[in-house]
Amino acid sequence: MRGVISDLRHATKLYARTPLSSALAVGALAAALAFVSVFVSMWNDLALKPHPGFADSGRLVSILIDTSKDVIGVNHEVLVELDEQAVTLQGVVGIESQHRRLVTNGQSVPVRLEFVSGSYFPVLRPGMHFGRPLAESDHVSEAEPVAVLSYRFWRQQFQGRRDVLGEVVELSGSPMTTIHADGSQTQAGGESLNVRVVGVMARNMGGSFGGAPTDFWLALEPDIALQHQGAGPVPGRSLSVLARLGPDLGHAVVSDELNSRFSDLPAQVSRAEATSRWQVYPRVTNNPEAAEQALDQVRLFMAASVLVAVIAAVNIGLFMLARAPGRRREVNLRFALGASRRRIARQLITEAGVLVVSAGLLGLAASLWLSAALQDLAFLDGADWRTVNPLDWRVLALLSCGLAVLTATAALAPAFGLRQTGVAHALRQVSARAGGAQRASGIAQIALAGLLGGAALGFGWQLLHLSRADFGFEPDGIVVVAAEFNSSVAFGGSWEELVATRASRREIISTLPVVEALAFGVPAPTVPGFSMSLSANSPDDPAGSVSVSVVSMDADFPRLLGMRLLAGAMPQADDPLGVLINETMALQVWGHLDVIGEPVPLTAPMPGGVEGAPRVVGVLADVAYDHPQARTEPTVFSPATFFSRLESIVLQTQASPAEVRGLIQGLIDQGLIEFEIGEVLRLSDSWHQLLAADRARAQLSIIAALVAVFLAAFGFYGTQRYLVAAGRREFAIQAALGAGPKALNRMVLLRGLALGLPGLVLGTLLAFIGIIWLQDGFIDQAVSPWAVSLLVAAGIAALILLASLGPARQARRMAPADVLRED
Amino acid sequence: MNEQASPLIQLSKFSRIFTTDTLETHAVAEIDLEIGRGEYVSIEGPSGCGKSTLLHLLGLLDEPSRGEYRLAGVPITEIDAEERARLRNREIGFVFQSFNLIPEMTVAENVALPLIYRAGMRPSERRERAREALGRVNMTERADHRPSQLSGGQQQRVAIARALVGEPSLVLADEPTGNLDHANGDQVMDLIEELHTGGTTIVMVTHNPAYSQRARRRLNMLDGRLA
Repeated sequence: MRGVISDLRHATKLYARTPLSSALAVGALAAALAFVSVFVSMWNDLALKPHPGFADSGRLVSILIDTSKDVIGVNHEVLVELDEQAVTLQGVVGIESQHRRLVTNGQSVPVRLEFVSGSYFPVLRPGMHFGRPLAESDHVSEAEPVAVLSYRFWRQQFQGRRDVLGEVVELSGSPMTTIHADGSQTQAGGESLNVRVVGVMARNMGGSFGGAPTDFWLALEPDIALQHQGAGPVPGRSLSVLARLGPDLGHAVVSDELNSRFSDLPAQVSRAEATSRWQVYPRVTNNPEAAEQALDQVRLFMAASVLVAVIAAVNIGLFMLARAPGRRREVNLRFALGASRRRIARQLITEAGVLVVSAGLLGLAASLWLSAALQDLAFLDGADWRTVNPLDWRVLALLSCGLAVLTATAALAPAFGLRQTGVAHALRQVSARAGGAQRASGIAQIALAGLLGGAALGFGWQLLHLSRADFGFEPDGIVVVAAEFNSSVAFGGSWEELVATRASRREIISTLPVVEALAFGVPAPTVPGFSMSLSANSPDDPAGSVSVSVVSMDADFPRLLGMRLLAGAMPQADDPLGVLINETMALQVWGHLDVIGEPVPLTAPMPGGVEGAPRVVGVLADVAYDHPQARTEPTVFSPATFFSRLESIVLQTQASPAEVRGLIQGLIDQGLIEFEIGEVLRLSDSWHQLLAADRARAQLSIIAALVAVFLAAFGFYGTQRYLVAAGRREFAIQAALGAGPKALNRMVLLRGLALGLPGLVLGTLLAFIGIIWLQDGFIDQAVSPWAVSLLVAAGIAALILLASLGPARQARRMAPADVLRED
Repeated sequence: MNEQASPLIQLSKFSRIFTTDTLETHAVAEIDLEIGRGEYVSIEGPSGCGKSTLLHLLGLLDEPSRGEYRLAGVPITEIDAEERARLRNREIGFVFQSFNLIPEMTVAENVALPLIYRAGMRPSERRERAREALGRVNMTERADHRPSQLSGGQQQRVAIARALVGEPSLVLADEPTGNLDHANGDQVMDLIEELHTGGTTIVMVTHNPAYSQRARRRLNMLDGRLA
């Protein structure tokens, strides 16, 4: 033990002699390990850790219906059929999340509910803190509403009182008016619900899915029955489905069964299409597509951070290796004084361990802070985080293994260096050339820096491409005041009423001094808002149907937003049936743009308070309503829709959104206009926000690449500096034979290029392959792998030359007489 | 001025002072010296008297602290490092005590090394001249060997070939026999004498009185000064 302490003291002293280099080596590795730790923690949270709340959650799967557009849940009828008939599943559970308010002591608190089907507790087996779970009798239609509380909510809202059992609480809802395709309307969800508390979930059960925690679990079936009592059709319930795999079965078997025996069921679900298929995911998630995408991103950046860590680790190795020549005398003396090889090895391992463990601890500390920051990255929005914890045993175990390998490798480096340089001829050393380990390390560092640099260039290029893309409208100087979508908004109304409402609003809002121009429409491009989808048939193929998005707008909307007309004319203010369509719709429905005057072949009437079929008056260039890479939907821009009253106020103004909100609210407060303000935002900001994920990805990859490039440059500089220092006698001899400063400078630069050439070739190749790979899901085809590779090659060459400049100056400024006097 | 008539080396009040925080060492102190073309000069003196420092200064590997030095009429304190390197390459050949061959290069490559710094010389010409120089020291058959494959005497002969390959007017030899046994030392001294006979100016630092006696002019140094 005393020996180890002595070794530790010696190692500390050793590094204290070169504090800057030591700090840089430790700092770089710590930073890389912090990123590795965070991304491994994220991966662990998303992919490795079982759901903490359910027993044996590794056997649970999520089941959804994959339409051609997205993935959707199932309705209750389909759920029941699956639960009763699927033989590859032990049980199937439906869950619907809702937001309500808990009314208590005259105040209301927002709460999150999960309505769960009858098999939730027996199939998923969540633990209870006390009380009872929802029983079979709670799920019959006429049952008294009962609820199970979450542990967190029980502690927070009921102060952890055990006598909460039996207490009846009131959950109020927000009624929502729904207008059906036939024009009939129903209201639902507004009733207050008095529920009796029967149990409290176990502490580790925060909710069935990631994201916001759940406060109440209630039985689904009585709620469905409650809605049956109202007039009109029952609104469809879209349920997330979890199921437990049958014994010894995998999720692929379930998928096979569902898509063979139950292939007709998806068609019974609203929004599903004839070609919809079952999708089974081997994880508990209610948005598998987003979760899968988030996981892909996490994997990508985890790999990048591991590569940076490898580069930093190689740097540590080079750092240790560069010290080897200087330590020959010391180690030789130790041998001469009787130190065994084992003793020397322990010393070297201790020295490496001090560096690596310091970096590991620093990195872990940094990761605790970094994990919160990185979870908010825009491209990880879809992730179902539960607890991203770098201190989780799985993360710590993985990191410990990595650090152990790193320590061993770093300890081997000086031993290798000592063996390679030899002790006996140390004083007679004339020249120095990079050894195998140095070459391999240099190649690895440069090649990985090239790979990460290529990825950063790819993401940067992609961002630039997207930023400069034509998105079909002009967002500058436009502020959108969106209407709040809630039950107080009335749908429908006649065309005349709509025209009068628009005119009245226009007249009043125009009086505001900041308003330069205004229009009405919903949804505005890139701004979330109410929208509707209908189906249209192609005149050439009446059997084929195309899903069409409907935008409600007045005649000024396309002009104010700078939308470009490809054919026809802008609509007239007094023509409710003259609609615009986008280019995609014209091509998908008619196959050409010459469609002016054509009736829009919708399969259902467009409820807009007017009789007659809408006809095309103009074709617009496609407008990006979503991310520029997303598929453009066929779209009809109609002056008359049933949701015209939800139209946003679109202003051309130099005023800020806050200023606009204040002014419009002033008009509302005066009773001049009837409007409930939702979001108010600058259209350019909204557009900017759409690219937030791309921007975050580009920024993170650029940071990773910069760190990698810096480390590679530092490592290469260290090797070159070592080679010049160790080979100074050769430079002195060359000077004696007539090499001038320029010649010595050139010699070091050329040797640097020769040393870095394999890394340059490999790095360029990896960058090319990397871009090709990234084009499969991360970046689009506009990014040229050839151009990126060329830039990477030029960058690596510049890196090599820049990293060699210092050592070249060292060689150039060396005093040959001093070196030769060492004879 | 007739170049042949003027001295090859002219030193005037020539000094080299090494300074530390607490100490000023006059390694070469106020030396006035002229060495004519074709002379064979030996410099003797005890260790640390400044012989090697003087030799490095003469070879333009170091710069004087004070005084003037003209080599072949060129005032070296007035020319830059690049010009000094060019002058060193064309006018001076070095022979070191520890040979100073580059171990990664073959014998022929080592010998051809000074010619690399001569602009415009073709590789074939460099190879030819290296072969000729090796011939003059009877080392042609070892042209493709590495220095580590040669004996000490052979390595010093290669070093002499390297010194003369550029046909310099001045050869500076710093203890050229210091690492050799008697027989090899004699052979090296014979070669140096041959160079002198061929018209090359030789300045040699040696501890060995027998070899020193072979020089036509003997200089003694003590505490940085010529005695």
